[in-house]
Amino acid sequence: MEPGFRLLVIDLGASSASTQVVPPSYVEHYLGGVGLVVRLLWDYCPPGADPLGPDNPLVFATGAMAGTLVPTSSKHAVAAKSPLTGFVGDSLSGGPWSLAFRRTGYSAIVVQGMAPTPTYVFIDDDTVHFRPATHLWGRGSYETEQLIRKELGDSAVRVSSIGPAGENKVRYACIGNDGTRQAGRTGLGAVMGSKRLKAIAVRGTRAVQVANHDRLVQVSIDLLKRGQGPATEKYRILGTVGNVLSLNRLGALPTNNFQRSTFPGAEAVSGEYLYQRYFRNTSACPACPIACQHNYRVTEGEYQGTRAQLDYESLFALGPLNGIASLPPILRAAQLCDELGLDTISTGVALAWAAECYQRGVLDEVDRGALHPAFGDYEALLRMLPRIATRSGLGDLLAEGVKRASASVGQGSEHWAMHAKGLELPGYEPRTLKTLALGLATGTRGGCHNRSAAYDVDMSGTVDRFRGEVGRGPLAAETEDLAATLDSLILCKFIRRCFDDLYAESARLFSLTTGLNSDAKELRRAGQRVVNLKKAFNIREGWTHQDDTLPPRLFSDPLPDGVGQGVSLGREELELMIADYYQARGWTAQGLIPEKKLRELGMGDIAAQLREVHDGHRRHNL
Amino acid sequence: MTHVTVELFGMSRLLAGQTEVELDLAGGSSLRDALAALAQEHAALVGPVLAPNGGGLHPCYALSLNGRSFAPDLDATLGPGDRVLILSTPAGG
Repeated sequence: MEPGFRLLVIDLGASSASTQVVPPSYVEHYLGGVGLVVRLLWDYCPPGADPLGPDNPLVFATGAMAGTLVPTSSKHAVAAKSPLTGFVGDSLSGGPWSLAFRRTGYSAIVVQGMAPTPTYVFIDDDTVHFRPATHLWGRGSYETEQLIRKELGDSAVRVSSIGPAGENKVRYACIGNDGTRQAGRTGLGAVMGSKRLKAIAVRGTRAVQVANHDRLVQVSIDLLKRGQGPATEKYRILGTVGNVLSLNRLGALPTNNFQRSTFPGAEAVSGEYLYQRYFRNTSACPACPIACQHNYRVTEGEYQGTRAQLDYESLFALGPLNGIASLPPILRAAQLCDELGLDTISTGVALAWAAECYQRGVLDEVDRGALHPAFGDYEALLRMLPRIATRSGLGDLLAEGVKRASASVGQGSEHWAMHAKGLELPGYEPRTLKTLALGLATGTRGGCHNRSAAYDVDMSGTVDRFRGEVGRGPLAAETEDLAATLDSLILCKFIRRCFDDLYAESARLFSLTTGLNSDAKELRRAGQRVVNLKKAFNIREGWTHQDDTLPPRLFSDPLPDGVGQGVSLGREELELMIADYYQARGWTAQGLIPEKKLRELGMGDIAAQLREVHDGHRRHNL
Repeated sequence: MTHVTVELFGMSRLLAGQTEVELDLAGGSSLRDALAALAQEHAALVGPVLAPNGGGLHPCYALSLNGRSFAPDLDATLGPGDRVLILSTPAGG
């Protein structure tokens, strides 16, 4: 058994690195993954730090089980204060990089400061090298990976890097690894770019030590078999793109910037058609029996040669949300976003916002002469992507995200700026999925479907999805706790239906790996701790109850068609659910965390530090 | 006689090779009867999507009546013109 989890602290300004041990209580309380990166963010990020300044740390961590046989564990989490929201920014990615990093013997990295010139870091087991990256600056993520591998003379080196979007501090730039995998949301690529850190290359050759190897192998193989069964078939065969037609039929497919929730061109961009027409093969993260990554290729026509992976969110954002009913340009756009290092969801939402601005004559004076976004115009969409990544013309405005862009343009454009806390909304219509609306409004990282999968509640058959009511608070909180637990272990959410008792069985996996005693109850508490820690971070950064809301459009514009025709979201309806949610969490009516609650969860240290910040604010305001 | 339409989405559509299935059921038939008739007509759905012996759907799939309500009671009586949707439960991505 290893002597705890090792943490690598990198100071880019000084080109130095030191090794520390993660306090054992952090692993016990926050597990790893998202829980650990947010805990380290709490420690290393001074309150009020500029998200794009040297004080904002960029934190990486795997879960405890990464590098073992445990199915779907080869993932890593990244966190920083988000340049998009000003609150906690966390994102997950997976693939060979996660495994290679874990095999260096480290479980986490904190990157501090700012390099004087473009730099990449090479972690070669125990040794850390700082290497110049000026020759890589301006290059796409995939090309950067290839060049670094060539430079280091080892094809086994794995690379996590930013593209031009990160370099130019596009507020929704992502961090890519292994060609197509992305830590996509909340703009962590911009934080990396602000540090002039082009890439982190890793070569890990060490075996990962676990507490009970034989038993862990046995349990993992059993889960592996279940992971190859019918519970994951939809991810294996069709992938999440199968959502398009289902959501369209349910009146929940955001179209033309959420102007409607059904898309007339849905069949033409459906997952079913994509599979039949463009599917080539699938690939998988290490130790994953599901292989959800679908590779598509366009073999004829204008976009011949395009190769891309596509999931539902990218398809919705670059397709129906922008009124685009043709798959080849959508695949090309997804490929371009990966190369440039752009979050596909935020990019699609930003372009759809701009398309509506032009539709309404609001943006006439900006970027005159350039091809501007318009619903259904895929050539304009494709032309805009490099302009966003390089902040050229209108692209500079859109690179700020829709919250800032709409505040800058004004003229009522805030009404159709589709974000929560600054994070652009994902592909689920909140007016016909009311529990999801609650999850999006209260989520700590903003408009996100992956940290609060409350649509599961809406589609469970136990609630009326068209109506928000008391009782949704505990249900939404439960989906959030589950997501926080999985994201901290880390186990992929796609394996969640393979467990008979998810909490008990994953607690067993965690115990067999770490040697720490855990059970279902303790794991649930860990998930609650992670949610409360993220909320505490946001409170520390100035969160107020007014931040838990949704775009004005959802309150005032009833849906024009589909099964949700005439439905909107009432402000009182949302407030009722939010109050219920705060109560379920044990928070105050204003959404603040009572000190007692934090102490109940064993987070007395966080409570004390939060009190210090509050006292400081009070003194400052006197 | 009650005429209902089953709309197929995702894996169920791929397995059945069609988008919709028209069913003529005896008057007073239930959702369970509709699924049993569907299983008879499309054996490929049994196992991956439909539970054997009229037991409903595999847990990874959802049933909607006319696109509004989810997982309604399998013993609920169907009316003429009802549309039964078999959907993959949306997830992530």
